[in-house]
Amino acid sequence: MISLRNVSKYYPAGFGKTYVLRNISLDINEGEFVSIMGPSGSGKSTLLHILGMLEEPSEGEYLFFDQPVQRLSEKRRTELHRNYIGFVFQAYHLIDELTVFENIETPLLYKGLSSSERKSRVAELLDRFNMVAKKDLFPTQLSGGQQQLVGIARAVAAQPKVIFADEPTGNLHSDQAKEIMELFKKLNQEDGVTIVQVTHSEVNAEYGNRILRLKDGWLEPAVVA
Amino acid sequence: MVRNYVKIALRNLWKHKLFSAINVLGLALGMGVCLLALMHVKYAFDYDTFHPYPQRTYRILTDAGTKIMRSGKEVSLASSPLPLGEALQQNYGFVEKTARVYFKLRGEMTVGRKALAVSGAFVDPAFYDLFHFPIAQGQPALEARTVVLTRRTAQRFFGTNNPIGKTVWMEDKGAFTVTGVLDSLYQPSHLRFDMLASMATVTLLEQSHQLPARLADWKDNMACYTYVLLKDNTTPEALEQALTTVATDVRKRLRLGADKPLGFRPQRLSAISPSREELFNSTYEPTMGGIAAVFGMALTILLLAGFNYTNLTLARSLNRAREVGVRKAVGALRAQLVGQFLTESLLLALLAFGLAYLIMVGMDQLTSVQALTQGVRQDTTLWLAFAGFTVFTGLVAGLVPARMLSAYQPVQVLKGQLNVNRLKGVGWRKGLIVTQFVVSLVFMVFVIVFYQQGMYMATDSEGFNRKGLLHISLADKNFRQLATEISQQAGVERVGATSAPIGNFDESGFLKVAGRSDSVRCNFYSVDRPFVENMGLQFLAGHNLPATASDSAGRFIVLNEEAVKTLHLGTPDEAVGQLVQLNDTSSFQVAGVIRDFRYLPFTFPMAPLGFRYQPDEFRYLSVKVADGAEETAIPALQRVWQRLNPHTPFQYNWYDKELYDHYLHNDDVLLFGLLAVMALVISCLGLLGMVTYSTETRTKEVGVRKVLGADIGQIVALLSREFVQMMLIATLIGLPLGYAASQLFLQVFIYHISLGFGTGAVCLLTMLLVGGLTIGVQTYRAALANPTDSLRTE
Repeated sequence: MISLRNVSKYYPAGFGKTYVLRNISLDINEGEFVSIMGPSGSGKSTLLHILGMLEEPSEGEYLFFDQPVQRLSEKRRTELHRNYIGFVFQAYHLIDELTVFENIETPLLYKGLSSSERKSRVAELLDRFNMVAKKDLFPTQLSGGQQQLVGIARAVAAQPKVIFADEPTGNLHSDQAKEIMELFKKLNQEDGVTIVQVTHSEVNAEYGNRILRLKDGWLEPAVVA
Repeated sequence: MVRNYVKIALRNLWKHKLFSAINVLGLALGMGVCLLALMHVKYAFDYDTFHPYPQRTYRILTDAGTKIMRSGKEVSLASSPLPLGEALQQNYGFVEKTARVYFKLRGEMTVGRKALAVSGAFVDPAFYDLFHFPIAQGQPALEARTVVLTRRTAQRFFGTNNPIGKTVWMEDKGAFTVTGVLDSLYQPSHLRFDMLASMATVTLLEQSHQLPARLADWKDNMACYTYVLLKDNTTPEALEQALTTVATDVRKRLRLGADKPLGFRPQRLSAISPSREELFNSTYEPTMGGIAAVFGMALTILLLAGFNYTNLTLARSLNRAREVGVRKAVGALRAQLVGQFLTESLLLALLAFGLAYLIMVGMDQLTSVQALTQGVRQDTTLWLAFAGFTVFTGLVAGLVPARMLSAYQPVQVLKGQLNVNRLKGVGWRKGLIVTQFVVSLVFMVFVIVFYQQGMYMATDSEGFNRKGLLHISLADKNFRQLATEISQQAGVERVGATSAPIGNFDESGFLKVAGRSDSVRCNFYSVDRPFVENMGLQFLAGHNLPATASDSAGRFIVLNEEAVKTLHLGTPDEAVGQLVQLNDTSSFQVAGVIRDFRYLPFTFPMAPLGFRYQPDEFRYLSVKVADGAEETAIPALQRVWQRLNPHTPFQYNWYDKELYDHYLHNDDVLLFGLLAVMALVISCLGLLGMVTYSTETRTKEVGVRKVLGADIGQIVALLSREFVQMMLIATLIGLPLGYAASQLFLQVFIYHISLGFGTGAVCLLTMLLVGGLTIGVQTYRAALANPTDSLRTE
């Protein structure tokens, strides 16, 4: 479903360019759980942002379900965000002014679901993530792990095909991290959601079924297991 | 979706209470003023909207090369000669009806023992068809010596009694029979009157010389207002053509030379108010220029408040940027985000409207505000205008922040590439604050100059005396007994008589030196010798009018310097004893020449002035009261008055106070002052918000600096430097602008104060004090904070 061909990303710096990603080609199939690893500054997040269509590559081609992404209009891309893609962030990025319920509801609002559909969908997620009692709390009233649970619930609310997670457990301690990773695994296996995560942790990377290693912007050849 | 927007908007407003309060308060101040302005506009457009044929009724304007005295601009007259109406009616088939309105019914009206001043007009029968002033009771006044009263007038004279068939006595014009009462509607009109008498009366009054002969006089184009109703399907061009023909005839008949232009043209009834062109001798229609001025002023205040919203919202954009990024990542279109931010500003505008309404009601207590909005009906149209205006305010205030905020890309936010200094619109924001203070300064300078000029005019006493002078309006022509008795009262120094207190226009005529042909227009007052002494006028040559009770004093005249100069009589000494002629009829000998003093409004240049003795014209006694006797004299005078005139109320005015009230428009000063204070308050609110935000974002920096050994003074200096700079820039722009605007305003007056440095200094100090306090308190508080508090969280 995802296919990058010779994708590079660079920024102008002085007279030359600073490369963040160099000549990346990769394919991700539906139902995969991919972990992107690499040292700081290796371009992991940039790659994830490009995959998530938040950033555009400087060169190369990106096919999402066989559609050339770089030729899509802003509006069409927003539609892909609404229907195919979910994001989970390291810093959770919940909206502080909205309750747990409303945070999860937001993508459904933009998707244009009716009020009753939204209510039943959010209720289902709250139930599934054991957060029914916390639905009227504001994000600042929750612990980090709970906030990230809300973040994941928000990401899956619109039933996306793929979730991009940028160090989802980076701000959590290990018990909470484990819980979150189990959840991702469950989503991948039971719901068939494709997951692409960026992580520093070998342990977390092991939850996936494939690891991509980046170094100085190059994708290291896959180690045949 | 909208419900979601509203919910988050409310939570945001609640969460940032200081910012919301600043915004709501500022917007409310601006909107309050704007609501008043809207009411004024509505009022102006409500004029004469209730007449039956607004598209077919025309007023005839006269072009006679009339020039406005000050600017020299040529304008048309709103009035026309009396015979015009009849000429049109008789000679042109397409004219259905004509109605003339002849405002010559001014003076005291007496009913039984009640005598009150009224003002009214003589009108043709067709008046009641052309205009919708419905008769509530009785019949229109069509026969000679009949009159209809407005309901208000009827109540003033008759209370609840039925006035129909009763007789009223009009000063100098005799008896009229009341035939009807006009309904009192909500109907602002360019025509205002207390009563309407029949035009048929004019013929009688002209025969008996109670009115000057004008019915057949084509020369007096100030005489009346002529209205024409055209038949259906008649084009205004036909009327224009007819008017050109009439004008040509009149020019021939009057043998007017090429230097005396004369023309007539129609003005549609619906175009009278608000008036789009300046007319001489105009009626009560509000002018477009006036509306624009009022509305412009209000919009300026609102704009300042709008700046606050824009500014504070942009300043907080760091907080909002994250929300924008997240929302975009989960599938929000930019348009949806714009919608969300606009909902927020609309909500704020709605809250502000509530407060603004209260502010408006409060301001409506001021007399000068009431003059703008008097009796505006708060109907659906007005409320729709209010609603539209609120939406407009919300949209305008919210548009710039909405566009800027919604432009954030999620990736910038998520990567943490945002920081305060890299945020958009920093230059914008500084510009807005500077603009606010510039406007505040201009307002302040202007208000002070306005007040100073008013004070100067209200207290000017150069060349005359204004203290201890009492004017008593006379009940009848027999003033001598009253004067004699009053002069015997304790505390009364001298009693004189005059046709009018100096300062009110009395009459003017053409004066020329006997034997010469060129004449000059000269203002006249009929006075006696003690009056001139009361006024403390200084004689440059000659002496006062003779002190005599007989009418032989009527052969003498006292002129001012200007009259001597324009008549080319040489030096004052040479002028004394010369003979001058008034209106080619009576001749006078110059008794004395007085030093020029400002007897006209300060917008007029010095003009010739003559004092002569004509006891018939006396309307006021001028009583000089000894210093300190002002309080005690009044009751004694009142007793004398009541003994001699038991049926007329004792009406008096202190000259000093009359001049003061006439020239110092206290209410206007108050209104302008209020606007200036509003501008300053709004600016300071904005500044407060910006300083608060800026210090909040720099808490960590302050903490680090304190740990490194910075003292409080240094921290305050650091935090406030930027804002002090902005205020200095505002000063550099605002003060010259304020002076320029004031200078422009002062040009209206021939005699005006000169602008000093004091005014600017006072304004500057005020602004620096208030602004400095705003900055100082906030930055000082930030500087006092314990660094461990701000650093621990990191």
